[in-house]
Amino acid sequence: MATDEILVRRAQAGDMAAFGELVGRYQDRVYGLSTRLLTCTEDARDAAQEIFIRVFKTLPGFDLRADFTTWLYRVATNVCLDQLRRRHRERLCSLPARDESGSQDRLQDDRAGPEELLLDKERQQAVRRAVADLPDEYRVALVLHHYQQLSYRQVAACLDLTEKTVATRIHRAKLRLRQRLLLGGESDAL
Amino acid sequence: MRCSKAQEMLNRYLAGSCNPLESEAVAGHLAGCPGCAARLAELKDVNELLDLWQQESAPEDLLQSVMQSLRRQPQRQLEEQPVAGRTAMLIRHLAVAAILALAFTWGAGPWLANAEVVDANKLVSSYAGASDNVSKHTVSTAERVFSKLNYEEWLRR
Ligand SMILES: [Zn+2]
Repeated sequence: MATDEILVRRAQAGDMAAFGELVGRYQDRVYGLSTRLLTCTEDARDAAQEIFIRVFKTLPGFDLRADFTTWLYRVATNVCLDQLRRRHRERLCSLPARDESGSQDRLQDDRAGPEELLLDKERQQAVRRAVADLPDEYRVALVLHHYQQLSYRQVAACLDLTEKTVATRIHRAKLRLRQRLLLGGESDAL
Repeated sequence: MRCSKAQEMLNRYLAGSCNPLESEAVAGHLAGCPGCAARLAELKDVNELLDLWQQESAPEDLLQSVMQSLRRQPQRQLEEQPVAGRTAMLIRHLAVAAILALAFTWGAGPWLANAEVVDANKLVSSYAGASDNVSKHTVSTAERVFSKLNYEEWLRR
């Protein structure tokens, strides 16, 4: 399997097949990021497409000595933040359109369906809502670190912040989540 | 270590991102501070709750629609490249144009060997300041005439 560097090099020279391989390799991660930042399946799909198009357009300027994954996340995060700004948080569309409603109905109809599963589903929805309600700057840092598994250093590089600021934002994000999900209240003081 | 400092470090401690000295300091504090130990347990709970939101795979047609969208507008890609990338591209195009011009003049194909490529490259580097329009015209003319030559292959070297 070709390394990222080889594929990037070829894509920089206009090799569409190489770029397609990069998209295939990273599409789940990019889509995972956009779903969690935009909390809306439709918007997340559009954003993922826009991210890859922007990556392709700016790839010739990418310095091969840099870490491609961090750079990709940087582009991806910027596209998502642009979209969030455009949206002005006026409509946080509900989650998610793809399979949720159907499977939830099935769970309710199924007599043998364990209550725990339903509970998990509800808890999952609660988590999504709580993450969606975080201030953007907290959510971005949290999602990059917790879900995309970037180190504090990589998150800092992605967002042009110091590691200390990243640590503070993640810390505050989790305090808010703790307040809301474990103690059952809002914590607007943070 | 004070409680506020310890609590600030708990996430990094949980993620294994502390250096050995920091880890030791946090662990030492936790051993003697039930309050911070309880905070650590809560953070673990928060992490577990976050993990309930599982990764969704990308839609099956995402790759296809990205590639289709790129193929629809190949020209725009070149125009919107950042300056550094465009300059590198310009030099490459000029190099190719020069080689093709030589090939045209001397009416040959097979001798397109490495030596000529290197020389042409040197020669052409000095034209980096040439105007965009002239180079685009040159390149497009050369490309039209010599579209059958393996230009893509050479660019990849
Ligand atoms: Zn303490």
